[in-house]
Amino acid sequence: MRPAIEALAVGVTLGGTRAVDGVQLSVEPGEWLALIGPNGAGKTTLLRALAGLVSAAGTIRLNGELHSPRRRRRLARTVALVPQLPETPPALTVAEYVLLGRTPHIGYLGREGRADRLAAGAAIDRLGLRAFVERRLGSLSGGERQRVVLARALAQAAPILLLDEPTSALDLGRQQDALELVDELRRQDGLTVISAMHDLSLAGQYADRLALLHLGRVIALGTAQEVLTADTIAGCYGAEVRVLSEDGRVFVLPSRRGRA
Amino acid sequence: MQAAIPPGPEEVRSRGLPPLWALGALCFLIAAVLVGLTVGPTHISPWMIARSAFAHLFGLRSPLSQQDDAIVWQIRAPAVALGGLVGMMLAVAGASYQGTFRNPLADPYLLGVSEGAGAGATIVIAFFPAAAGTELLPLAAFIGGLVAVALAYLLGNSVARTGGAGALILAGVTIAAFMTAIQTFLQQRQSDTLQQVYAWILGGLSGATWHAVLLVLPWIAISATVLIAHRRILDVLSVGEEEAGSLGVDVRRARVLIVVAATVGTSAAVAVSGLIGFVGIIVPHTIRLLVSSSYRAIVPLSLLVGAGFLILTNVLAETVLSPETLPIGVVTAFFGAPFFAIVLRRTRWVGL
Repeated sequence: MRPAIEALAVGVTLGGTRAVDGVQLSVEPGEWLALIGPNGAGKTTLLRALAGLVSAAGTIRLNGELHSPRRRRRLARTVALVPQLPETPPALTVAEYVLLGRTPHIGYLGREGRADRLAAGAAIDRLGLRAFVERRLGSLSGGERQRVVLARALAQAAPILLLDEPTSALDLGRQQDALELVDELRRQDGLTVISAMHDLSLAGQYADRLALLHLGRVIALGTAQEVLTADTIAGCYGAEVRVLSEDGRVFVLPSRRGRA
Repeated sequence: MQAAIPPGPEEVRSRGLPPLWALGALCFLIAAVLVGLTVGPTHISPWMIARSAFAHLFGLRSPLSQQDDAIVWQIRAPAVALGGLVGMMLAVAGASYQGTFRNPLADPYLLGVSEGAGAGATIVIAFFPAAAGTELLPLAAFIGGLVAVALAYLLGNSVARTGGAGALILAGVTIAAFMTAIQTFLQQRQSDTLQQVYAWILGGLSGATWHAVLLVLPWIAISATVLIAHRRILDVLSVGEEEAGSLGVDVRRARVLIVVAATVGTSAAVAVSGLIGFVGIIVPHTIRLLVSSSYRAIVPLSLLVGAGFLILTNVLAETVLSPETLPIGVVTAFFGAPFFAIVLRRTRWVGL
């Protein structure tokens, strides 16, 4: 099967520094890949390069097709990006915000058609937001807002979903809710997911594979057991951790330095 | 590619343009036109005006005396038409600048567009007085306006890369001051045309002619059409450059199109009416407050309400010190400046 995402020697230079350097990745359709790594490792920049928001050297293929950031609309029908801190204009209603996700399916000066209103309605139903349709974004809680943002990405109907720290603003329970939801949507629609994640234990439990980035390079790629070892984490995060394994699941726990 | 739509989902809609508000705005405009045609030192009843309008339309003899007919159709009507065009343009341009720059304080006057257009127009009036009534006037105003908005944007962006609301407006006011200096210098140097320039720059519709109406009509029509066509794009831009880009919008192209269109229309308006500030603040924000924050409501309603607003403002300018005429820019600033203060207080300093 053709990979959903194929990156060959992808590099991004931002303000003179190499933010992403020689990244080689291949993600299968329907797979969930988590990008992990310390702050500034290049996770966000790599996601932005895949979404065509920064120009990148090297080759990116999406579903076998060469990635062309100049053809914005086409790209937006293939890739949906949920940024870490999405802009949620407080006076917009949930319906209006989710309808914005239909933009790549509407002509430049066009208006939403029935198909778009239905697709947005379907996305709203699937995320359990029907009761919120007329609510303003400003009146929602963080967890509700996160679901609205996901609904917009879902309305975009792109087979590849890029999530930048999807749970960073949420409490523990809402983090699990959001990730379960992503997993469910991925399984139902066959979406390919790439998410940048801070919480290594959650990353290991939800993603099929993990890619550890450090200084713009992928330094480890594989399953949670393969990537999440105390040595690799100590090496690039400069953190002391204990890694516990239970029923094939991996938990990464920080432990106070020198007392382990 | 498309995700399957499960059976029987319900449609969702954006608020769009609520029909009742649209009707209300239309009634407001019609009422303003009637007031504009009837109020004045010479009393002519609305009924007689309606009859004479009917007579003119069908080539019959007007029921008004020759003098009254001239007052209504050669003095008041051009002022109403020009006021309507200028008001609609300034309001729609203000709304569009606010949307593209994601800045609630943006207004043609505060971005320096009007002053730049004023400087451009003054150059024509001062150096080529013969060309003052031709297409050259709006064109020179447009070049001045475009230079001003480009400078304000570049300066504002270099101060605050995140595009803080304050930075752009401070940059705009700086450019406006500079453009005003150029304009005043030219005006004083060419003292023989001083009177003409001075009267024009203060802003006025009292000398309005059908010629001026026809001169700006095409520019304003094109500009307003382009801006109305962009109303949904303005909504998409409200999620910011990055996310609008990831939704498939070529943000740079959209911005250039919207800013150029708004500047073309504003410059044409300035070329015939002088400097009239704050219309672009008062009208769109009133609509935001009362109706919706979606540009699908703001842009078309600004068109209707802006036109009615300036027609009424002009009536006020002509009657409050009657028989003297107050410059219309003074009246809009009198209401607009306090309004601006309110918007300023409600604005988070970082942006919309």
